[in-house]
Amino acid sequence: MLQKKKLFFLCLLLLSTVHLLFAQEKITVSGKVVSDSSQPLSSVSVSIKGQRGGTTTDGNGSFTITVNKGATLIFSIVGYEEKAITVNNETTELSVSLSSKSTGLNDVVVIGYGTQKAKDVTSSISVVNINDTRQRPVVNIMQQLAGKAAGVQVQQFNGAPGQDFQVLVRGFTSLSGNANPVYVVDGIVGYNIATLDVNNIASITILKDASATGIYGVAGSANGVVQITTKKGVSSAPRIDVDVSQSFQSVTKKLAVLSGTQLHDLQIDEYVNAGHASDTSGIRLPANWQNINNNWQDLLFRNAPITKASVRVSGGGQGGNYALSVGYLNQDGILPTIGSKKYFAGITAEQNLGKWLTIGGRADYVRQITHNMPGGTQGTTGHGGGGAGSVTGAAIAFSPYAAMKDPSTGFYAVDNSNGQAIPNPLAQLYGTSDITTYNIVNAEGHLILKLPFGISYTSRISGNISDNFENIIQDPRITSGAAAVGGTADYKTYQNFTWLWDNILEYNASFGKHHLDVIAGVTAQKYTTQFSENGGSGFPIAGIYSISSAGDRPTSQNNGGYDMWSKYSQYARLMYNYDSRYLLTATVRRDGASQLGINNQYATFPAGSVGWRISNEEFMKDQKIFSDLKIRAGYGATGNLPSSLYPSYNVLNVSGGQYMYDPGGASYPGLGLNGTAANPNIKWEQTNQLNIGGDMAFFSNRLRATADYYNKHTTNLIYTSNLPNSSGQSNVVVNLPGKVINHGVEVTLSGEILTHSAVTWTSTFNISFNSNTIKANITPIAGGGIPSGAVSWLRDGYSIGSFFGYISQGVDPQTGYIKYADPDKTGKAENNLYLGKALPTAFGGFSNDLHYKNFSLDVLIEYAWGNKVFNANRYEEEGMYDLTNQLSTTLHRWKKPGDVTDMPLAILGENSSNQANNPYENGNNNVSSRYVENGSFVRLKNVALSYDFTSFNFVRSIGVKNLRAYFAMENMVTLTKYSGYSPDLNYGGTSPNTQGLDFGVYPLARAITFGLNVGF
Amino acid sequence: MKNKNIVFLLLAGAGVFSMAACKKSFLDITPPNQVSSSSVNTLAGLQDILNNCFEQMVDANGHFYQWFDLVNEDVRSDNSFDGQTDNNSNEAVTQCDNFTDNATTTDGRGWTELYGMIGTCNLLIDVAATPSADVKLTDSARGQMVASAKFLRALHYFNLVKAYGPVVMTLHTYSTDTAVRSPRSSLADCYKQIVADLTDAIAGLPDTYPNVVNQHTRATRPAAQALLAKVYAQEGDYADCLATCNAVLPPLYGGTGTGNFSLVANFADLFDDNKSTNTTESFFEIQHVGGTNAPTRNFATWLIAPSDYNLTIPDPFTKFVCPTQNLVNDFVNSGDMIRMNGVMVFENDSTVFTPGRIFFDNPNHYPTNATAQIPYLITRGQHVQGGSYSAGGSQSVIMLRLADIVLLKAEALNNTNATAQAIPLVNAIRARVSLPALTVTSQSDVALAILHERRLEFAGQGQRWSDLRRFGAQYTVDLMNNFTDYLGNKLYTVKPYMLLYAIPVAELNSNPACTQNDGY
Repeated sequence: MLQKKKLFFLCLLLLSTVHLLFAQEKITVSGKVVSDSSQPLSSVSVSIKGQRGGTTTDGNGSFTITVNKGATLIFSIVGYEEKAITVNNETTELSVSLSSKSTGLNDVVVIGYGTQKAKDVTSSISVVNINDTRQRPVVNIMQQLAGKAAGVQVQQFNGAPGQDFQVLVRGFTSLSGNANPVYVVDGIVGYNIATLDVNNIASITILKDASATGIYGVAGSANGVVQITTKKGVSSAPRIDVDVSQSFQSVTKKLAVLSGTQLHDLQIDEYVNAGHASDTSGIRLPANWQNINNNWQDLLFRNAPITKASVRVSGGGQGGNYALSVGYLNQDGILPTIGSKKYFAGITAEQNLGKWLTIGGRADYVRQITHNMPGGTQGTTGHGGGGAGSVTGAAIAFSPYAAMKDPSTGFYAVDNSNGQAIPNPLAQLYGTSDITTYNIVNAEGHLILKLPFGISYTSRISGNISDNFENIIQDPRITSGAAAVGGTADYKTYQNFTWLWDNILEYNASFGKHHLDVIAGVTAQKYTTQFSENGGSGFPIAGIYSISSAGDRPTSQNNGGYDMWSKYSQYARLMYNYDSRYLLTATVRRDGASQLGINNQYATFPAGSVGWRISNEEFMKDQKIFSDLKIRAGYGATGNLPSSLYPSYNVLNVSGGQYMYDPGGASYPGLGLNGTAANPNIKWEQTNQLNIGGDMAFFSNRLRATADYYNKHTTNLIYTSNLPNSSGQSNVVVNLPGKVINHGVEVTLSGEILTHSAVTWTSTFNISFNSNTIKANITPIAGGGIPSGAVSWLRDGYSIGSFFGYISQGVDPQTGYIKYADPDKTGKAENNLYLGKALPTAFGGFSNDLHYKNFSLDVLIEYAWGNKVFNANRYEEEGMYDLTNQLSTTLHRWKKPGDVTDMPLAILGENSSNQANNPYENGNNNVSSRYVENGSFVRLKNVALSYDFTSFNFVRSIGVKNLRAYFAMENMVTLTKYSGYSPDLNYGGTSPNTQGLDFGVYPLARAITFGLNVGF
Repeated sequence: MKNKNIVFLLLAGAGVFSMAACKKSFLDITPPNQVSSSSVNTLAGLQDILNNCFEQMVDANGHFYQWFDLVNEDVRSDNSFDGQTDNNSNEAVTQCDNFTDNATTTDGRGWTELYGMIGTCNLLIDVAATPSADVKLTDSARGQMVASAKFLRALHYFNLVKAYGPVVMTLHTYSTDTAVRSPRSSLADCYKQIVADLTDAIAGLPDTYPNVVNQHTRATRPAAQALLAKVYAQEGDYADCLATCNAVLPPLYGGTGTGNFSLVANFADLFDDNKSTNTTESFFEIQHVGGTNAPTRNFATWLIAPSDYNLTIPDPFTKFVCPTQNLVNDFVNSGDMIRMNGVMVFENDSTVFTPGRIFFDNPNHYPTNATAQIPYLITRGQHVQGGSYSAGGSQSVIMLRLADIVLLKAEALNNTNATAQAIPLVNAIRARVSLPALTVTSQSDVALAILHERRLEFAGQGQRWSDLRRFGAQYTVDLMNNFTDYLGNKLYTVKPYMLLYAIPVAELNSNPACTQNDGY
């Protein structure tokens, strides 16, 4: 066409100006590539016949390429027939339709240390659809997994910004250990996923069964492996992608509470029922109290923005490619003072150095600053808060007639006017500053050497530095606990460093219909952590917390030290298939880990699977129903490590005791055993897993189904066993005989429901059933609980995350007390009865993708049922045993004999430790089924509506290659019978022995988002 | 070209498999504070472990030496009773008093505490047994510290054997799951080990430590000899007991000991907060700093002594070790007011200390009439200021003292048919408290006189039950079955197996190799 010179000055929304200048003497061709079902095809390679270079299509299938007049463009992507189109002057806007290959399953999936064609996979692998990432206010990878993959349960147990989610792949396997899956990013095992900007992710696959995960051995492969590939540059002209969005969050729900006068009525009832009708002097009402009616939830919860922006520049040529990215994420909390900020920067590059050698590398940096919710009780510093008297608990329990600010100081008032231990939630938030700052750098370099005979050699070395700084300050002017000691301040620094070196040989070859892919590798890894903690109290000037001015620097706040571990492993895998019909995968990994006992420091993990693609058989040729049919089965070993670092050694403690060797009582250090005996025989926790599954596609792949049955038996359970006193030690970490069993079924159905040229609708539905049972002769292990007792227990014969306590039979209409069941006719209320389990019977998701012309609509629904929640907030907020405010459900409380209600009487001090007045021997507020609720839910997780402006001429005329605007709603509707904020919340985090305990946890937010995706 | 291929392959192969060379040493990551660390096996390291051995005797484990020993020896016997009423804060004490401890009894007799302290002694002995690179750690310094640890280990095992009979003899810091669950040794083997430890201690310990004021807070040769004499006596080996007594006793008592030991002139000084430290009579004592810090004060004072020495502040707490009417009567009938007033104080039930009636209102032990005098033991500290235990608790506890060994020698002489030589030794002890010489002369009468003398000399000091058992098992059983309250009612049904305590259920649960004592 014309010789052109173009100059673009592009002002981006939140970023500095980017200048882009290029000059070419060719014609520019653009267009869109779609499948035969009119789905836009992304990542289609667009190359020029007989020349180097080319481009790929973006997420909308669009591409732009500059070529010589008359050149032939080749469009290719795995799974589709290749297509060649010659361009001339008249056809600068191409519409290309690629037809899928008859097999339809030539997609490549990422597996451990390599890739495999989907049709040849014999293990259980879920590919997570992340197409909607750029149209959602997704703040981390775990959030992106929710509802997307069968067998993967993602739970946001704490809504505070910067908090992790719980990701469980096929259930809890360990009583004591880590349950998180292993994250592998671009081949780096155990990657710190906090460093990843979600916008940079190209694909996520989840390896679930032993045949897939076993090659990762002892490093937690029993918990599944999440394989993440990041976006790379492609060989084309430089390309700039910009994503910006702005979200507005608000709390999903508020709970109805009593007004000041209703609370006062309740307080009088409490006194009367406790026999103190004549002396209610404990109720101290401020002057003019009837005119003060503070709803603390309204004062507390706020609308909070999330701002996200990221820019990627990528490109390549001459056998190399690169990508640079910067990102910014600022999420404010729906509670004041709380929030999290992240700054990302990353670079990745790869270059061929001749025919034989490719080198590449990457570096990522993230800085994260999180303002945490202060701990549950004043003086504790557990990040994320929760528990008795936490901020959200106090939002309910703080007196409606209490003043917000103390007029004598001008600061938030601490007292609720009744001298109660639950402080003003605003005073908690403003009185304690709990800030964690991470600086994380991931760096990786690799070389790939093409050797003779089809062998390639890859060596990859990576390092991760994670600096974590924690600063916790309690202001004596606002924090009642810190007032007595003149304020407290803690400054803690943790530095973790890991290096990992992988060396892999790979050989693949085909001999006729025989296909062979073999890898063998060795890997070494070492981890070091160092920490130092400084702190003090008694600061002379409130507001200046320099440790040098601290009046007291107790040893409990001043500490330091280091720890290390190392791993050394060898692994090999053979993948073989005959005509993609008879399939075989065999893996073996041998791991040595310093965390294992020196007598058992090496462990071997064999695994294998076989598959039969029936649809490839001769006798299937003539049938029209199945376009694909495969059955597969696998079995193998996976592992988990003990959490102790030095199990082979007896370790010393230094105490600062005092003994009168000499007058004056000078203190001498004392060295003694730390109480945990060495066990040089400790082994890895072993999970043997059987997986049987099938994949099928019908009607030319319009409907696909995958189903898997699995059975996981975890043995050599890592367990801390008590030692007899006669040994001189207290406990030892052992491998317990017994099992944790998980078995279940997963089904994924996906279909192209509408394939009309103007309207397309694809849908994926998944459902997973998991059943967990502990079969081990353990003394019951108590987990988290409430002041009247432990709620969550690990017990032989029950699921992990089960609740035990009394069974409530409702309120006795004559006395107003809760009646408790006595199933064994002991004559007394019975404790330790099974009350339900926190883990769901079934869970899953339903995602939908609709396109109409330039509109697209993504709808994601997630659900779970069969899970119970222990609503511990109601212990505090419906307990009616002290003078704190309560939920308005207590208006229906029992008041006089004959009242039939589910709410017992209000009685001051009536709890498990004061049972004298209760004819049923146990208090109304015991751990009982009274607080156990059905946590089943269906949630409209995300709805995103977007409009693609790419086809508009004015968009192209300013040099924009693609432009999309969207509006999304996250967590908009949750259908549940659960009465608290959200059934996902859990005070126990990811701990296997505390699940489903909703106790003062930061609630979830809903969010609406507006955003733009722009490509230049 | 072919050569180039092979070079490539070799290079790659070398890259992959050279890592195989690192292997074991790469994985052998040791904790910075591991037991076998070279910085622990040094002069400073061993001293710190030894410090801990002693510090444990004043921390939570040290409760054994602060008051458990009084429960085991005095409450179990006719000397004292459990003063708790219906509000049982410590059921183990009640069971001990009433002989109701059984197979489901949790520990209260010192199993946990004594083994806790033995573990640290074992640690020192094990660490010191390996060669050290520290030039400052001389053989003599190491020998002295090992001997100190063996002295303490023998003391702890002696107390275990006295309470439980044969016990599990753990002599090392074990590191595997199986070796830490061991069966009980025979009684003879237990004693053999205790004697062996003390023999080593006597060989390795100095007579005194130069330039140290608190001599008796450390392990010394006389202390080890005194303990060995007691061990022999308890074992029934009076010949060796006699020889050992002579080795430690000064010439005044017919011994060859060179130490500068003598009886303190005023018996009451042994229990005076201000005078009981570093006396001439002490072989070994535990000193307490006192004050508010839990690990450094004598916790027993709060549990045993009255709240206020002037007896004007009511004490809501029920005392664990209260002298029996029988003991008070014995003092009064023996005319031994000096020793009675040395170990206990009285307050008048009706006039000053009314709240005391609440817990002494126990018809089994005391009348509740207006003239009753309520006794409190002060052998483990005289008072706690202000009715709380936040202050005070600084009294030393003398574990081994001269009068004990003098009377033990008398007992050994009498048991080796040298009754005539025994009597002057008993009289020497009686003379200090202005009591007349013994009038009895027969071997059996002198034996009873010595037992009686020990009761009065060591009341409230954790000796009585073992003294009785040494005198005779059947005698002890009969004595307790015939023990009466002030109204003449018999209180106890005692069977011979009850001379030993039940092994705590926690040990049996976690140690299948350990058996319960017969009868429980």
